[in-house]
Amino acid sequence: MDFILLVISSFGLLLNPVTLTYVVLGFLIGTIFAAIPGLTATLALALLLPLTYSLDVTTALMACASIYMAGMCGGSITATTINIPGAPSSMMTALEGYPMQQRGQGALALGHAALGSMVGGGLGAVLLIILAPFIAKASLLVQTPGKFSLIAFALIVVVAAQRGKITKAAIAACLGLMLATIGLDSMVPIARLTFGVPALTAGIDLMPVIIGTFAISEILIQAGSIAEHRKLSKEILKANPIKRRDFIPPLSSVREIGLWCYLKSSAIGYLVGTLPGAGGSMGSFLAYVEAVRTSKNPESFGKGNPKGIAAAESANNAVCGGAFVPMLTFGIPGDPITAIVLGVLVINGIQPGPQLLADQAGLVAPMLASLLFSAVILIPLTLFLLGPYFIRIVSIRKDVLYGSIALLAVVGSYVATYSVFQMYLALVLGILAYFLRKNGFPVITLLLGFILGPNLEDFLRRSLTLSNGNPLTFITSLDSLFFILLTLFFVYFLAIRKPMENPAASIKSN
Amino acid sequence: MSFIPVTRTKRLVFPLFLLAFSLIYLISSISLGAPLNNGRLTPSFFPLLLGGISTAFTLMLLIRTVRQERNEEVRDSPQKEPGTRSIDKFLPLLVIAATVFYTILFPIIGYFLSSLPYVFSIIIIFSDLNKLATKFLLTIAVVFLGYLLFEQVFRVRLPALWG
Repeated sequence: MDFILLVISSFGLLLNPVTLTYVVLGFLIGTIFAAIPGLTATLALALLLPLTYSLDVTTALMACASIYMAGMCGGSITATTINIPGAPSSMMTALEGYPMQQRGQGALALGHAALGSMVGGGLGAVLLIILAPFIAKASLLVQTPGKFSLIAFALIVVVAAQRGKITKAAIAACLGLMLATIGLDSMVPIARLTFGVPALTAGIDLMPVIIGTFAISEILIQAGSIAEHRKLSKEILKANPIKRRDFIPPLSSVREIGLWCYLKSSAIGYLVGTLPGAGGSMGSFLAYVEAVRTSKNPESFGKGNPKGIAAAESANNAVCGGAFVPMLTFGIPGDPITAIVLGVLVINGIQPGPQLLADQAGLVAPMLASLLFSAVILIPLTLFLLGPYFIRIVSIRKDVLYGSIALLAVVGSYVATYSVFQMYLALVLGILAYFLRKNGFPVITLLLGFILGPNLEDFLRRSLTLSNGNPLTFITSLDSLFFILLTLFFVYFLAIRKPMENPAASIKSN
Repeated sequence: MSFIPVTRTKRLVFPLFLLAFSLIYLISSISLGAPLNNGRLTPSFFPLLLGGISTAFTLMLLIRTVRQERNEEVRDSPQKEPGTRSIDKFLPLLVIAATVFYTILFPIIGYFLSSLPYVFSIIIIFSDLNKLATKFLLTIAVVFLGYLLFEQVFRVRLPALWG
C-alpha cells in the first residue's frame, strides 16, 4: 500500500515543467521513432542513453517510461495508413487497420488503436504498480543457486523464444556472455581476455554495446536498404489524409468490441510481458488469435474488424507493464527497452535486483507514474493533436534523419566517458551487430547475454563454492529446482511444441 | 568429391568467422589456467565453459550451413529489385568508412570540423549527389543542433580544434 501511495504522490512531479517537458518530449520522440518503419523506440532510447548522464536519474527514468509506452503504440500509425508496421508489435494491427484505411476509415482505426493502447497500457501499469511490491518481496526468498537458475532461465527462454533460429540466438547470447567476461574478474583481481589491449582491463561498458548493437548497426542496415526507403516514401505520399473529427470511436463500436476483450487482451499482454524475450509482437499476436477464436464472426477478421485492432493494441501496450516486473524485481530485463532502462540505473550506480523496490522506491515510483500518465493521458492527447500530421511527420527526409542519428550515436558513445576508445568499441560492436543481423542472428540475445553475464557467472561460482563444488546444489535447492522445471516447461512450449497457426495466413488462405 | 561453388561459399564466411572467434576465446581461456583449484572455481572456469559451448554451437551452425549449401539446388541469381542501384550494396561499407574516419578525426580536429564532413557524407550516402548546396546547409543545421544539444542543453564538453 505504501508503494501505491508513493506512486500516486509521484504524479506531483509531473507538475514540474522541466520533468513534464522531458516526459512529453520522450513520448513524442518514441511515437515518431516507432511510426517510421526501420526506426524503433529502442533506437530512440539507445541514442538518448548518453544524455541521461547529465540528467537527474528520476527524470531520465520517467522519460524512458514514456518512450517505451509511445514505442508500443506509435507503430500502429504506418501499420494503418500504409500497411507497413512501424514497429513489429503493430503487425496484427496492420491486418485490420489497413483494410479500414482503404475503406476511408483510417482515422477510426487509429482511434481504436489509441483506445486499445490506452486501456492496455493503463491496465498494465496499474497491475505493475499493485503486484511489483509483492513479487519483489517474494524475490527476496530466492537464494544463490536459485538466482543462478533464474538468470539461466531468463537467458534460455530468450533464446528459445527465437523459434526457427535457436542456434543463431544461442551463439549471439554466447557472444554477449563472452564480451561480459572481458576485464577484471569479480572475485580474483586478475584481468581476463583483454587480448593485450590495456583499455579493456576495466571491461566493456554497457554504453558502447547498446549504441553499437541498436544504433550503429541500424544505420548500416538502413544504408543497405535504400531502395526500400524510396519505395516507402512513395507509399507514404499515396496515403489518404486523416481528419481529426473521425478519431473518436463511436460508443456502439466500443460496445461491440466489449470490455471483456480489452481486459482479456491486456491480461494476455501483461503476462507475456513478464516473460523474457517475448515482447509486444508475441503479446499482440496471442491476443489477436484469442479475439479471432472467441469471435462470433471470425471471417470478418482480416477485413477491417476494429476488435482485432483493440485486442492487438491493448495487449502490446500492456506488455510494457509486464516487462518491468522481472527487471524491477530480479534485475532481469525481458526486452531491449527494459535492458536500456536497467542501463540507466547501472550508469547512476543503482544496483537492480530484489532490493531495488525496497531501497529505491522513490526512484521507481515516478517511473511507474510516468508509464501510467503516458498511457492514459499522452496516447489520446498525441493522437488528437498530432494525428492529422502523422503522415507528414513520418515522411521526414530520411537522409537528414540518418545523418542526425549517426551523429548522435557516435558522439553519444564519446560523451558517456569522454573516451575515444568507447567510440571505437561502439563502432566495432556496431559492425559485429550489423553482420549478425544481416545473417539472421537476433541481437537481443547478445545484449541480454552481456547484461546478465556477470551475475550468471557470479552466482554460479558462489553456489558451487557454498556447496563445496557439488553441482547437485542446483537440484537440491527448491527455488533453483523450481526455475529449472520452469525452464523445461517454457523450452517445451516455445521450442519443441508445434507453433500456433498464424491467423493472418489462415485468413488469407480462406 | 563434391565442390561448393565459390559464389555460394560466401554464406560460410560468417559462421567461419564466428567459429574462429570462439576458438580464439577458448584458447585464451585455457591460457588463464586450470578451471578448478582445490575444488574451487577459478576465473578461467566460466570462460572455458562458455568458449566450449560457443564453439559447439558455431560448429553446429557451420555444419548445418554446409549441408544446406549442398542440398540446395543451383538457383538463378536473384532478380534485382526495381530502383536498386548496383552501388547500393556497398553503402553500408561507405557508412563504416565514414564513421572510422570520423572517429579518428573527432579528437584531433574537434567536433565541428569533423562532424561537418561526416554528417554530409551520411546524407549523401542516404540520398544522391543532387542539390548539394541544400544538403550542405542541412548538414550545418544538424551539426549546430547537435552542438546545442550536447554542449548547451546537456553541458557535455566536446573536443575543439583549439582548447
